[in-house]
Amino acid sequence: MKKIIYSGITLLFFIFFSVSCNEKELLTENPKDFLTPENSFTTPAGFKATMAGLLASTQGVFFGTGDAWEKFVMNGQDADLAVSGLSEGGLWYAIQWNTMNPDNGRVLSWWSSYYSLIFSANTIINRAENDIVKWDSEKQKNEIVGSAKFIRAFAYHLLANMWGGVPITLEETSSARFDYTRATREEVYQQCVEDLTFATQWMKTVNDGFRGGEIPRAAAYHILAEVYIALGKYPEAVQAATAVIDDPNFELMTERFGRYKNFTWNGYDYLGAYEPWGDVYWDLFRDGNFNRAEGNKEAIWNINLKYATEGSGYPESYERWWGPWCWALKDIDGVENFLKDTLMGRPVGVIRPTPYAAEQIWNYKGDWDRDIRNSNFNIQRKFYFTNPKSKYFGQEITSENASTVNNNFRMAYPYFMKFAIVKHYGEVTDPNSKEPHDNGRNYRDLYIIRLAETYLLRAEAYHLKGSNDLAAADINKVRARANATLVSAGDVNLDLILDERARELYGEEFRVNTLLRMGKLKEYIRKYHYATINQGLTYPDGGFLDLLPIPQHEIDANKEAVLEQNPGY
Amino acid sequence: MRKSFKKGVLIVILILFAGMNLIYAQQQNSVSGKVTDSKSQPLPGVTVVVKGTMQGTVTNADGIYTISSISENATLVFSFVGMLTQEAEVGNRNTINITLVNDVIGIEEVVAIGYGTSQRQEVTGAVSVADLDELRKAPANNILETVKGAVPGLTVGGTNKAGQVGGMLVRGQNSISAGNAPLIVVDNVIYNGSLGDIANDDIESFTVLKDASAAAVYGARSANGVVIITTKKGKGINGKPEFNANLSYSIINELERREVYDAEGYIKRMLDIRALNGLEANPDNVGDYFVSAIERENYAATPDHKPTVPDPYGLIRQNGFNKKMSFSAANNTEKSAYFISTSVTDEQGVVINDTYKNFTGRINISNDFTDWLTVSINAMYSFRDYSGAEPTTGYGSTVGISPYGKVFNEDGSYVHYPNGTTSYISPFWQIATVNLDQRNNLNAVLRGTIKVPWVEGLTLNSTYSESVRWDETSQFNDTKTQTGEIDKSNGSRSYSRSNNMLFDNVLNYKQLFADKHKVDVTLLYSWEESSYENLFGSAKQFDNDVLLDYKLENGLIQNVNTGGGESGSIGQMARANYTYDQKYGITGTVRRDGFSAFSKNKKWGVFPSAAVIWNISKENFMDNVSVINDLALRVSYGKNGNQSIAPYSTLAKVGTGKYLYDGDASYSITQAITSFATDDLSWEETTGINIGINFAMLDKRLSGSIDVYKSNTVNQLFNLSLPYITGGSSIRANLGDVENKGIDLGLNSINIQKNEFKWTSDFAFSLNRNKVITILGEDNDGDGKEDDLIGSNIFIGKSLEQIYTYNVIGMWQQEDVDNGTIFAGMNPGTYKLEDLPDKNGEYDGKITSTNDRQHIGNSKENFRWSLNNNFVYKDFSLMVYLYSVWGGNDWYLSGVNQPENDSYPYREDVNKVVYDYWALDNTGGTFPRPDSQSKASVKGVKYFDRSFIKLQKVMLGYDATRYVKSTFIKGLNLSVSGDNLFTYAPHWIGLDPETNQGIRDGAVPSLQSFIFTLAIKF
Repeated sequence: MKKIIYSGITLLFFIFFSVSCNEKELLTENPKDFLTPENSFTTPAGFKATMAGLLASTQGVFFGTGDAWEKFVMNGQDADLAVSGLSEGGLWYAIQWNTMNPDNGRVLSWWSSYYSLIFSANTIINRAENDIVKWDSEKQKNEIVGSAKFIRAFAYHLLANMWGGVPITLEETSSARFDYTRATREEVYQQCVEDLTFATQWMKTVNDGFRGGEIPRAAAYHILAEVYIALGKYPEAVQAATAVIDDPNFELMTERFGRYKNFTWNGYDYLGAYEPWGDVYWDLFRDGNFNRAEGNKEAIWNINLKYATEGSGYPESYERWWGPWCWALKDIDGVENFLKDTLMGRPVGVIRPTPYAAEQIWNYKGDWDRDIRNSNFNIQRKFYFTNPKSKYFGQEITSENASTVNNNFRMAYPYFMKFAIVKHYGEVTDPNSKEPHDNGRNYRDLYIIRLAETYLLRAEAYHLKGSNDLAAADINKVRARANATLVSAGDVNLDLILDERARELYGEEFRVNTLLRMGKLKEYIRKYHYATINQGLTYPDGGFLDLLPIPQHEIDANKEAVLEQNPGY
Repeated sequence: MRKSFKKGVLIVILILFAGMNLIYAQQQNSVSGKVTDSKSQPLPGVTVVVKGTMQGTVTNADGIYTISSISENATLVFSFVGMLTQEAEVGNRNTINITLVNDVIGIEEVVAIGYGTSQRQEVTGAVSVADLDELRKAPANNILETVKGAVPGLTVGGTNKAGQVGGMLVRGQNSISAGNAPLIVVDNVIYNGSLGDIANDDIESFTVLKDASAAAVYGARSANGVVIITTKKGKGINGKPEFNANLSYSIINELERREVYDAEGYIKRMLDIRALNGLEANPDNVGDYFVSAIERENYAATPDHKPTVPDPYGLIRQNGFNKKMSFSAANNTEKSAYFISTSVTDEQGVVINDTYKNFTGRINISNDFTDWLTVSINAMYSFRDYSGAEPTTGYGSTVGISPYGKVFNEDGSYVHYPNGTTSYISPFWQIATVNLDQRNNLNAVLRGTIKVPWVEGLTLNSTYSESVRWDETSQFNDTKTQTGEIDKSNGSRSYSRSNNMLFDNVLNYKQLFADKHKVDVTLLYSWEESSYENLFGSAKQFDNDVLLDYKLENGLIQNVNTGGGESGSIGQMARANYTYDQKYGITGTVRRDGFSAFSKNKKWGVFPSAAVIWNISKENFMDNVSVINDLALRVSYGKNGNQSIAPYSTLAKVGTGKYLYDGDASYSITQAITSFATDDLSWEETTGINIGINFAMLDKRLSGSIDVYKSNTVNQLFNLSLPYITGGSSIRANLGDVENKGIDLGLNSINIQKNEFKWTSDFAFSLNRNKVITILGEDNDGDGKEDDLIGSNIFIGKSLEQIYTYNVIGMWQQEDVDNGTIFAGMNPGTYKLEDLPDKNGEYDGKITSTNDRQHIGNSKENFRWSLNNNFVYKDFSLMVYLYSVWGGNDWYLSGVNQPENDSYPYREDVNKVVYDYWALDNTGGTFPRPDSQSKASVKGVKYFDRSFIKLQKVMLGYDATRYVKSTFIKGLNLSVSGDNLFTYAPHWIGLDPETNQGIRDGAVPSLQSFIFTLAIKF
């Protein structure tokens, strides 16, 4: 009996311990240091935070969270505007167009980053309609939804321009999906029109408590114009572009302005007397000059970078990669050149303009010396020995006085000064010259859309509509500011527009997108890509490079439906 | 010293004192006698204790003992290591002579099997026990270094830094992406910390549960095997406390020193590179060739061109040492026992700033309060300090200093660019000003055992354990460092803490019926809660940085990062074991596990297993087989889980960040959905079968075990690629099946046992093969077989460590250019890769990734073995321990030897490790030309076989006890030992094959030590 009692008591103890914890509670996870979709999309503040996140991702996608090469290739590097600067024999650096195939990593990177923006935009657009969100007003909601729709349309218009018809997804994905199919290119553009139309009604205007790093309504009109051109709806395109051009808040800058308008300097040889330096085009690209608050009325959509400030993104690195390696050159006696702070910095000579961008376009109408965009201020073409220890100190660098041990091809080529900085923050001191520099990575804003491009878009629409006189007028608006010879209606064709884009927007516009939209990528690579011409590289006809290949990764991963590949691959 | 460290020490000391007064003894009448062995030789040193008291003595050199004041009804207990313990009732005798017989190791051994123990011969699963007494003769930093190689089926990784704790793997890789480390159980409690925190000398036993059945008691966490460690319990000498002190000093050097070009080699390399570039390379004009002004000036400074840095590598190396001291006090009585210990280690590796300090303290106390209640506390504290920043390798490699460079400024500070090129930053500019890395572990296990009165064999064990681990790190880089210069100094401090509570209740019923039927039933209810939190603060842009990381708010840019979380789990387990007459045994186990991190729809998992043992030698028909003493056959089958789903990883998450609107005073917080929920994600499941044999033969002179096993791990946690159209890149899913099979073999042999000489050998051998059975199960290329996942390096039907790449078959030479056979894009001095025929059997004369990659071998070893020989002659003992991992036939290959792919291999002004590169006058070089990166359009990698046999440990010991017998000292041992003494690796080039460090700028040498040890017992 005792035995039973003791066993019983023991068992009771055991059972007591066994039920003393609340199993359900113990096994339920309550997040402590992260938010969930359930609790973070309930207030306007949550949506504002998501919008800020979307802006940050957009900045990251187009300008990188590191020295991402996708952005430079997008600017036309390794295509018609620039090539590998490393050596004369260097064929490609960041993308290889002649063997383009569905496994190309850059293409996948563009594709995936645009869809990631679409995903985030969808979360805002879908969840904004949720009943639990207490919006202060319809306007408040639509302003955020409008911005999200703008980014969604911006991503889709790039997808349509570059790949044609792509899968359209307008709902937030909440679990795995493998059954996407392609819409037509028209349908994708049409979706963009729908989103952009909404955006043009609701997004903030620049007068509406606008902050740097936000996207104004004018950007939606600008992209809408581009989409309408792609759809062949030219009057609508003209109308959309006109909404920006006629907006009194925007105008081309024609007078010197900003931080460095009274800048004086002794020039690229760093010798002699100081004299006034720069012109209005030069002013457009100086640090501190990009925002409306700083007097710039030409900027429409900028990315926004601030030195040594939390929340600012990865610095832009155009100086480092697009500028020549001039400071590392040696004279014929082996004496190093000096790295200088002012308007040089620390470029490493990896991306070099093609003869098309460096020479050809500037000879148009004999404007070489007239067009301020080709002025000594805006393109440095002569380089000097800057080390006082050199026998050739102060002299221009030539093939005779420079050492041939180093690769002169990489050392001295036209340096577009829109990439250069007047004064660096001095993160690093050069060991030889003791001058400060920032390793070529600068904190300075960049343009995504500038009014000059809107003029060129409207010119394109006019031209395609058959109104070359109006097209010429728009092109001349841009040329006049640059003091270039005006063009006539008879001069206008798509190539002129592309040349003018190269002159005005070198290193700024999404060149690959523009060329693919116009169906001219392959033609322009054949015509202007350095290695293609020198080495006689060939590009098959029939679809190849008319559009980009759908990434194989997507075709493979999408296992429950077929994603058709574009022809030519 | 840090405050937390002091606090930890204080806590340990308090705990230590708290246990002292538990011990008591009592006494009363006289008896004497002689103790001999079976050959009538007197046995000195035999412990004779009055049972149930602390009273006792030790036999003298003639085996004689005397005990006074002893009552008639007392019992004497005679014990001696290696002999069976005997008891004798005193009665009215005054003389009691005793003959002790040898105890063959293993026969009465009690083995830890998880939530209980079992007699060695009744264990049904595959369980290996390390022979720590033998192995620990050579001192080692931690238990893993002690058991490395000696436990069949347990792989312990190599180490090459001070205080590093090697990785563990039991029987091959089951999981592709989840962890493969075994579960660790210390003193019956699941242990989530590092084994580096447990003092080696505190460990009593080290057991590995290898098969599904043995490990099944730990259910969802047992798929990778279980390591069970028990720490020492109190044990005294004749009722008096036993004190042990171990002191050791090691001299540490590289197993193999890294070779960097000296002035002569540096110049030769410069000439070679110039020649390859088609430039003049006249040895008489070297002075003109230096690229940088610094080198040129230093070269010209002396007529004989004396190098300014004769030994570049010497600048970053130091002489290593290891000072270790451990001390323990222990005692036991009938009712209580204590074991108190402390140890201190101070180690320094061979690279500057590679330091390690460790302090541990432990107290294990147990007390029988009544007949039926025992309470014990095991408490420990450990402090490990890895502070000190080493010069980083990689970009600013430590080997790059030119023999003609300039390392120091006139004021003694370091030059930023010692070679005069900004491509090479001084390694000293990579060393943080402050680098603190301290890890603390405080752990207490409270255990109550209730033996239920009147119900024989029924016990209730409640174990409550609480551990706290906290780590502190801080870093500061002033402006004299690479990142500090860019950031205007930067610093950070971080603190992280984790708490773990475990409450186990085990109900056990163990009974022998009718002398033959042994029943052992265990029920478990276990409940565990963990939480963690961390705090990280950093800052940069200091105008004044003299306060370093103590005042991060003086930096203009500050960043704070905090986090935390918790998890809970519940385990329910039932195990029943039935043994008939020690002849047949069967064990059945089922465990049900719930874990908070499991996904919403899969909170619980059930893991069953069963095993049988047949002691063949107990059968009548074996009676006449005298050669065989013991023979048992074991078969087991069961299912285990691999929990490996991190807390919160199955939930949809929203991440936050920062975005700065221009014009705003500060950034705005951003948010974005960063992951999808996976509501049905499940743990990985390993189902395995094990067949084993235990045997002893030739009068138990040769004994051992052999196990063969096969297991399949399904529901592999696999990142399934999503179309990027979803907005995500991949999602975790349960897929696939990986098979492991292998053999574990352990042999112990007493080779010679004569009067004063004994030679024993222990041999361990493990062989494991794994194979991917299926992953996605898709056949897109339509060849009727499942497609390989080449991007993830997974090949159906092949091992997980398969190497699929180009095959290097030689080097292109000038002749190939001359006769036109060289492939486009290739140059002389670059690897010649094998061109494979395409589908039509044609060679296309170029190397493409689609057509020319092939299976060239495997990075996994073929087998492992170790052989430990112990010799004892009189007071001398010698241990020689060999350890080997062997490949052969395309196994154990490593592609780490790519000196041509280090940073700037083509730059003559950046120094390199010495390697045999191809040059115009060295066309037979092993490695390609220095500039091969730009001279080969397709680059291959040369693979080398890492097979090695190591003379891992040699220990020569001397027992000097007889010289100190007249003093209070009861034992004195001296030893000299060497660790990692010699490596035979016939196919390897470079540093240690075990740690896979070959010829690379960043290769880290392994440590070799010579250890002097003094062990005192009193």
